[in-house]
Amino acid sequence: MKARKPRTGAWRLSRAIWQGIFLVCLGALLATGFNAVRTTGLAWTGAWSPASLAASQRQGLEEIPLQEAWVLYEGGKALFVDARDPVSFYEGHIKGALNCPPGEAERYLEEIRILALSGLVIIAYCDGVDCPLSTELARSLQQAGVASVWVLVDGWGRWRKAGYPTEKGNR
Amino acid sequence: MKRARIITWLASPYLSLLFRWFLGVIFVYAGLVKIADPLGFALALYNYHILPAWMINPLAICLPWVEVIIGAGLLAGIMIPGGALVVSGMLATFAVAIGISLIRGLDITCGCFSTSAVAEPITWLYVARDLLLLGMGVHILLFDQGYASLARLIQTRLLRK
Repeated sequence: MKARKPRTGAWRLSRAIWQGIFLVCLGALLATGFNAVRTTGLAWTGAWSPASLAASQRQGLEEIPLQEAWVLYEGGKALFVDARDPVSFYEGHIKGALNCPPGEAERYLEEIRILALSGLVIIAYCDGVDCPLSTELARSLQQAGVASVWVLVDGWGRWRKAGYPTEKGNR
Repeated sequence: MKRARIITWLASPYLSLLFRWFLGVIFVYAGLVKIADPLGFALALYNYHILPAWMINPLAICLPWVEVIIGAGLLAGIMIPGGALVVSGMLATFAVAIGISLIRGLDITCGCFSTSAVAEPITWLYVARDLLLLGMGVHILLFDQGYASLARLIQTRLLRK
């Protein structure tokens, strides 16, 4: 019988490295194949700018144009939910809006659900085109079963610029 | 005497086997969760603001599969040293990435076992958890003897015939 060569630490490390490289390549190969055949596969290059990201996050959510939001507001048919932090809300918000950051959606869920059932359209907003808070909030509300949730993109900025009613303080 | 016994116990290949199974289950699970939602995982990677934009999608596509392959390898006992090395490397990288994000004050989700954007934000406990798992990976690398492994089964049963 042939005598076995002693296995040194360097030999073990080298074996581990080669095995590791093989496993990573195998994983990448399977990933490539699966990504090519699945319907929800990702593109290899993604547009990861904040604005395009915010747009992709809004997938499956309804955006409401500012003009329509204003018409609903005037008719008293909308509840605006401000998804920003309490300090920003205190400094200024759409008149009559409710402050509800995404993390606190559960706290206000019952109130919002009842108001939605009574016929009000729920409009979530935050500040800036790439702000993800209103989208997160709208999705949470939608998942919790609140019907007719809309997102007013860059709501606070555009509302203010249009000169529509705002107020300061807590609510 | 007592100390020697503790050292023997700590360097035990049976302990290594336990760690192998534990890490195997964890990595297969973590990989499958991410495979189910590649966009959610890509978003979690983006939120770290560490990687260049061109790397996010390729990593979101490949990393979950590497996790599953390596996890399955550790469970079955195939290419254990390689799997343990990659697992340790990945866990060290994750710990550093989470640590950097915490120092920078980012309020982001981990993207480790869930791709939900409204999951719990990262804390230093996540770094500690990764370091603990890293310890297990290094233990496998150093002390595993290939117990209950498919590779050994093939070697001993099939090749001797």
